Amino acid sequence: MGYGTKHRLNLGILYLLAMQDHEKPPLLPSWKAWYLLVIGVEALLIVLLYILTQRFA
Amino acid sequence: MHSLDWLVLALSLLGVVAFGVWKTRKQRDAKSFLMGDNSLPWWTIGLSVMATQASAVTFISLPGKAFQDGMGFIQFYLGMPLAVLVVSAVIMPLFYRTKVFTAYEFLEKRFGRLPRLYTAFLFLVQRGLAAGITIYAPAIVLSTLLGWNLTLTNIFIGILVIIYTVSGGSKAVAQTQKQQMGVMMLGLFVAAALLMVGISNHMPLNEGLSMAGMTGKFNLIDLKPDFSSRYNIWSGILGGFFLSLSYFGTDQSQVGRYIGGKDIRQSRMGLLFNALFKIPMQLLVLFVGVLVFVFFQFNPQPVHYNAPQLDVLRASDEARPALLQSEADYRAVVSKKQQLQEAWEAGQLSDSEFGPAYRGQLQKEQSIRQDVRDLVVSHIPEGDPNDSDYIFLSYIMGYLPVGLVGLLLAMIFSGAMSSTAGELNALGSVTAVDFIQTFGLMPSSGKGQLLVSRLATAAWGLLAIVFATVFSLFDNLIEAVNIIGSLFYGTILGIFCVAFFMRWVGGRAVLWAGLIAEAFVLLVYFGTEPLSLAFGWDLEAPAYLWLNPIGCLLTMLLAALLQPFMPKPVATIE
Repeated sequence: MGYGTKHRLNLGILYLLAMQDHEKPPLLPSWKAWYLLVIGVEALLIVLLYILTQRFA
Repeated sequence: MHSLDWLVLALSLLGVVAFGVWKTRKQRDAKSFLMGDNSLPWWTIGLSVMATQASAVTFISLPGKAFQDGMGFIQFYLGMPLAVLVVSAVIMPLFYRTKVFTAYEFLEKRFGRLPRLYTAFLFLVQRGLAAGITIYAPAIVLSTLLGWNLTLTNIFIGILVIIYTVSGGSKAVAQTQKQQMGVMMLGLFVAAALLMVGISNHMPLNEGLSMAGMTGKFNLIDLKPDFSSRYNIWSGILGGFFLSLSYFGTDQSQVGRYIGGKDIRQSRMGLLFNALFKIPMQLLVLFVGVLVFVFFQFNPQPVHYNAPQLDVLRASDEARPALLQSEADYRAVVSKKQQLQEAWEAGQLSDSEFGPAYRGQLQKEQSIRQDVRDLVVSHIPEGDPNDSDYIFLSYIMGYLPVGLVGLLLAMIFSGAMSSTAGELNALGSVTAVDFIQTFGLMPSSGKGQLLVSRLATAAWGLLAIVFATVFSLFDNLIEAVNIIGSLFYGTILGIFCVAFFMRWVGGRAVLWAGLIAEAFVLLVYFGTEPLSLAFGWDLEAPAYLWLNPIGCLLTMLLAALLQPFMPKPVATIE
């Protein structure tokens, strides 16, 4: 199946493409787990930076 | 500079160059030269992606920015991890499926030749200028402080990079970037440790950091939605997202780094590595700037960090009286600051009394420093009055022990070389593949193609040296690089977004949309002030990060509006 033959590329394809990857990544069980880890670390970092800003305001 | 520092500097730089040349001495053809035989593991890709971003500007400008304005610049990076996820999940698989050498090759498969050439041209303009700045930035500062000849310093940095980039191509760039990242991280940790020790000799570190906090240096997150404020969480996440999406998804200096991976699994991991570690690294660089600020509260600091400019002012009969007056005022402020520190440490002043009083003295200090900058403007016409890029180097040259000065200078040079190498490799690839090959000028033999790719890389290296010698300084060097990027990235990203997400739009509509959107972005950035003055309008240009979403969304919108009047697209990618 090639690009553009069955899927219309739209924002939803992001999720589809991520889910279609059956290859196992290093260290974690799936790419979805890696993506969640990155988002979680980012969120935690923003909260920490905000707390630091308030602490010294 | 001590001979031991010279030895450390020379061994670090020449060792890396020799390693790169030796390790990649067997180049066979253009594919091997441009894509490194698709042999790179994820950790090499991750370090290479990070090293391409970490230029000398990072180590010269960023600490100076934190010293003056605090750590709020970190918000600039907040959109990056989210953009990397989109690149990793959507854009990278498309590049792998279509087996392209460059990002713009994909556009020809989708839209035809003209949109590909236009986008590749925008890339060459902005990346070519940026390559000049990445050479010029360390050269101007190092040549000023160490008394080196500026042109020769430009040529020295440029030639070193050209040697291994032309010799070993993409693989040499990635291999040397690993060693360079090692030098950079070592230098960064050594600087932070020495600063902490230096501060601890005067007051407990936590008190020093409290003092920095009370003077506004830990302004990490600003929630206020202000369209004209350069750095707040909204411009950082939204503007930074678009800028990073364009940088990692459409800029060949990054695309070239990760499509050289063994397979998509390695490339993805390399990018995710960058998403996790880039922000902590930049936090460390900014934190070093705050430590330098605290350190200089206890140690003598000049009224102006560009020492050679001070010498010129002292030698001028007209400027000397004003300078001496400023220096006297400055000493009075320093003395007052010391009194406040002692009273605070002795418990005679509470935090709420000390903070505002100390900030008041810092404002006076800033005002005196501004007076000296004004003197520079009026008495040294060719001189740049902004001295923030000289702050960290003043600390290195003035306070580090013998040997470590060489290491820290090696860190700065490594940054310059790693980012310039990534840029030259990308510029050479785009010139060879998107222009020379497209116009049928590429030789048919493997050796001929390799020679052409090498010549294209060398030509961009020489051009970057020429750009570097004719640049004049911006406000702050790291902003200069990002501003140039933001002028073009929005349109480039918009064209790619139309390619990915709007399959019903064809090449002619996207080309016109890209041309109009780019003209609009340039008008907004360069034209707002002159137009306001000419017509008496009350217009304010948006902060430069917003140019990225503006350019991208405008390109997409115009493409959608123009498409009904243009020929229907022909599907060419299967």
